[in-house]
Amino acid sequence: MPKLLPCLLAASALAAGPAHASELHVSIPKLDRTAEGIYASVQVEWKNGWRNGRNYDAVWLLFKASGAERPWPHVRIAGTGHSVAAVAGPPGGVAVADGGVGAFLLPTADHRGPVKWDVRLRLNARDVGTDEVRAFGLEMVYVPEGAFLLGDPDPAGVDYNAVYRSDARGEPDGLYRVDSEDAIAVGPRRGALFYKTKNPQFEGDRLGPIPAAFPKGVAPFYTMKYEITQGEYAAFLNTLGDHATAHRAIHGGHLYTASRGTIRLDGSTYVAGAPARPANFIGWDDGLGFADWAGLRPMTELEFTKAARGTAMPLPHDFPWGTASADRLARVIGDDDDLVTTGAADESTLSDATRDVLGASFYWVMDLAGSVWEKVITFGHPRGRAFRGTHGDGHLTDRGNATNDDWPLGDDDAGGYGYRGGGYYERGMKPREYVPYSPTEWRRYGSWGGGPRSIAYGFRAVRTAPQPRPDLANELRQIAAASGGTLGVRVVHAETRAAAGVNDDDWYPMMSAYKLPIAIHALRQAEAGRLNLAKTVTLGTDDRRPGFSPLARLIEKDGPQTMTLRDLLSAILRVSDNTASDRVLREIGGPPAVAATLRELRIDGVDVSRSELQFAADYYGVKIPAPYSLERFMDSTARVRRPAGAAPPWRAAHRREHGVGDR
Amino acid sequence: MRLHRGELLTGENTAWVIGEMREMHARDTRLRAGLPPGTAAALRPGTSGETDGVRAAHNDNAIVTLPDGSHLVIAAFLKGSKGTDADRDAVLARVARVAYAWATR
Repeated sequence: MPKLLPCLLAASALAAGPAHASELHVSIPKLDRTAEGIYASVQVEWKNGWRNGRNYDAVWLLFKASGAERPWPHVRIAGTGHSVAAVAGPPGGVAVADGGVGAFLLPTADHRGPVKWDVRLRLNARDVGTDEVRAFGLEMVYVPEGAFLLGDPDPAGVDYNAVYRSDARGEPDGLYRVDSEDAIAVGPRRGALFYKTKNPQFEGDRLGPIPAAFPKGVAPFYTMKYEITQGEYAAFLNTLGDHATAHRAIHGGHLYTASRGTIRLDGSTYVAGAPARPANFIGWDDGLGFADWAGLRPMTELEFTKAARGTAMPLPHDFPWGTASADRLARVIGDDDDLVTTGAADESTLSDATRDVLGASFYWVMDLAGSVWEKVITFGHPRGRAFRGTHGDGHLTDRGNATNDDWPLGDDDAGGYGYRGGGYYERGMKPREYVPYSPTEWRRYGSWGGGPRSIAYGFRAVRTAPQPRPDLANELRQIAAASGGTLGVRVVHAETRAAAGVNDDDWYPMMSAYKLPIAIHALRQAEAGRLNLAKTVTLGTDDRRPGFSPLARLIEKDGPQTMTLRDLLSAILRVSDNTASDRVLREIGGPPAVAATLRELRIDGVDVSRSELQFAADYYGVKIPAPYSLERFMDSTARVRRPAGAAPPWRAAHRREHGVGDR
Repeated sequence: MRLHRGELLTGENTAWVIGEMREMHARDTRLRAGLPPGTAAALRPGTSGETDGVRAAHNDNAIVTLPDGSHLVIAAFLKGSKGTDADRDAVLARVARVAYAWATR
């Protein structure tokens, strides 16, 4: 079973973990505060991992700043600067979720067995501040993209409210294939999704459509491999503020400890006596609070079916383990109230041939049927259909409630959710419909948005898979190909040096970009005491320069202007004023002096060889008139018609930058 | 890049130059147009004239402050381009858009 990094609880958690558990361990992060950012080093270790041609398991990692004040604020993960070093098992990769709320650590090569990684992640330095941080991990299973079938091939499944493809009269016409995330029509119409109900409050209102934004399970997602455990829930409570714990603590009822519940308050710390045991007594708002806190979201009924059944052809009243029988099932809640695997079976022996022994789904998601009921967003209620699949951001209200406005939050009877998969109640209960497990597509409570915290209700959260990190170099190549010219780009993340580019070893005319080296040279001269930026200079008519220059227009209108060199630098940097630039260039020793500074700084790809005026003269192929005036200069250029196709002078030598960007 | 890292000027002057460059709004239709509204970016554009419908240089450079407080340096140089100024601006805006998305994922 996963252990949600209860660093506070690690000792008791380890001691009590059942032998079959998968035992995810996430160490307390070591922080490395560098000039480039704050890095967290954690060791992540779990058993029974895999990657094969179908899918893989992974760990969802999130961070909280563990200051003296609760709640502990969420800490986002930066976009770049991460690494995974394999101590044991396969090589690993990092997929950071949108906004950095968390990251998936995933195997990047096929394997089966234990995993042990040293992970180094760059955190959002603003979120960390001066605090220490704690890391929390959840074992997840990747459910890949693909179509799947809804419904039960057993005609009797219709009586258990299984959905079907409708004929023109609303009667079953086979299974319903979900092959895209597009909206799904619902109703008694040919080809639409439909289902029968005896009690719409429990089984759904048979209305639609199911909007395009409602997650359907065709797009890839990650689901928790197991239901939330009691150790994980206690660790969650320990990060919350006092007011929030009063609402989210689930262990207040008379029957809690008599009903497999082991969470208790020890002093001011929540402790789970059996941390690996699935958490029951999880109410709907409790589950949503956990999901928002963890950066995850609830799963939909459709995703439940996809995770259970995958792309397999369904059998009549099949269970998530792919058969219509529970005869071989060795995954039970045992006499000591733990969820255990009996006999010789062990999770390390899980294969497609033993799914029905270990209760694993098509994608090896554990306990989708049996254990505790899964709470799911239903398509059979308007509040469920309004769900858009937004993800938690790590922050809850003062009362510990989720903050996503598309989640059907409310009290227990809010509607919008339901139950799938069946649940285990108490010892000695005779197996019957839904107890302790139900066929995948039976949904008699699929739309029942009710029920208080109780013995058989749990929760499992999911997250839509992050889009693969964009291949920036490839995207830049595509932009360059359609640019209408030659596009050279260099992009560098300053703190991590992560970089990409296109055509970035070519030479380009810098044009006014060359003013930056001029400004830098001027400021260095000032720093060395060789230039006084407070010095005032007066610019007159003959200082006016061709090209963009509000200052030239001002001189023309109001006469000579007196200003400080710093004001001129400001005009260069803020509006790229050519008159200001040439005057500063003159004051600081001209192009040779700027070139000397660039050499001194070992910036060898930038050529600042001329003034704006000389450049314009070269561009037009004219001599600078003597005596100079802007009007005489413009007159001379007006007579020039440069022959078509002639190489412009900037090709010969001008403001070029080599290896653009990282210079 | 080296300006941003403070290797060229004192801290005070580095901050002043970058602050001044953030006030550069002459070419907001280029890189800045591809960044989320309100993003702090120090800009250094460059533009040539046009000869027979071909523009020698249509450039922009940026030091962008990302939401996590780190920085993205973008240097984009478009040379010998045909088309309209709006086309050229759109090329540079696309560069900023994909670079920002890449750096903030």
